[in-house]
Amino acid sequence: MEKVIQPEELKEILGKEGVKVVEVDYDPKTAYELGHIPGAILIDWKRDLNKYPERDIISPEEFEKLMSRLGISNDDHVILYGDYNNWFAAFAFWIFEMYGHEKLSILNGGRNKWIELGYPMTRERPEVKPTTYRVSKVDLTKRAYFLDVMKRLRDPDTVLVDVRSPAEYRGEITAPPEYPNEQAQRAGHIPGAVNIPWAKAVNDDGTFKDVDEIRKLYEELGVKPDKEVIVYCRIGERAAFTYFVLRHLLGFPKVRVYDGSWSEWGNMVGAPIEKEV
Amino acid sequence: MKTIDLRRLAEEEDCTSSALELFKKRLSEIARGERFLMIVSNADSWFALRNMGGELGYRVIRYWKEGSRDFRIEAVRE
Repeated sequence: MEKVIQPEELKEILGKEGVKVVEVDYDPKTAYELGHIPGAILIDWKRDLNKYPERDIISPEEFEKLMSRLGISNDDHVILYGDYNNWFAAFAFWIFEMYGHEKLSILNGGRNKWIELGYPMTRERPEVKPTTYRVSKVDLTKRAYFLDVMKRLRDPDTVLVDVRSPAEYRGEITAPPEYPNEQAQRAGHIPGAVNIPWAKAVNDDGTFKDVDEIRKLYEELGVKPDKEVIVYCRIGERAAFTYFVLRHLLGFPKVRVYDGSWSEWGNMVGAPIEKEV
Repeated sequence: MKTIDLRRLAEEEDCTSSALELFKKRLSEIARGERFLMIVSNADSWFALRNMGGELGYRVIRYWKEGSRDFRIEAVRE
């Protein structure tokens, strides 16, 4: 099963038995609700994949309920795509993977490319028949917690990748002012982290760049497959995008998302930081 | 013709929601009946703005793609 599906390939298999297209949005009002791929079901990232007020991803049991409600079966080929250049689709991919869903792909370029190609969109919501979904295995080795990162600071076998904007990495800003919920007390980056913004891996239209080009970009900065790689951003979604790139396009065996990211590290008492301003 | 160009913000912050807030502010500065141009850097935002005129108070006259990161919509404020 290819982990990346091209828009023209998806167009050919829309509506086929066993194929479930899922749009994962940060902001469904300006995305799914205005139009989506015919037959696509919605996952609202904030509402469906996160637990509040705990600030955590949903549990396996909650994932089972979500899948069952959305009419997804364990054997379905789930194709994820979404707004914001697939960031939140990649975050969903990461959760699906940790909870053992095997037939899983991401639509190359997400909503953006599909729309640019002029492919069909609809406002009609598909009819969903609930299923009984069961999580058969859970693999949390793809997730890094605060203490996991602390233990690996300056570890020569670990590389930390900060995928935020250079201004955030350098410590000029903590988060853009439009994101009051994502601000941190302190600016800068985790000591030793290299800055490779997520967007370096994509073309103007949001599709992935050539794999050799991406590999060169990362390896030149010391991000190599023999290392344990921990990726972070501000709240975890861009990190999940880069996780997908490293794990599934480049085939790195040990990649983890630190989803606490800067909104945790930058607020944590005693967590060391580096900054350039 | 007045232009609301959201490309630079999108490049800096990667985000359409912050762009939308800026857009609403700029839109409020356009008089009723006035024609204006919107420019965004990606097809997803282009699609959203083409479909949000009723809610935000403008009517789309035409839309086209100018370049790989240049998507335009001409509209009239209502």
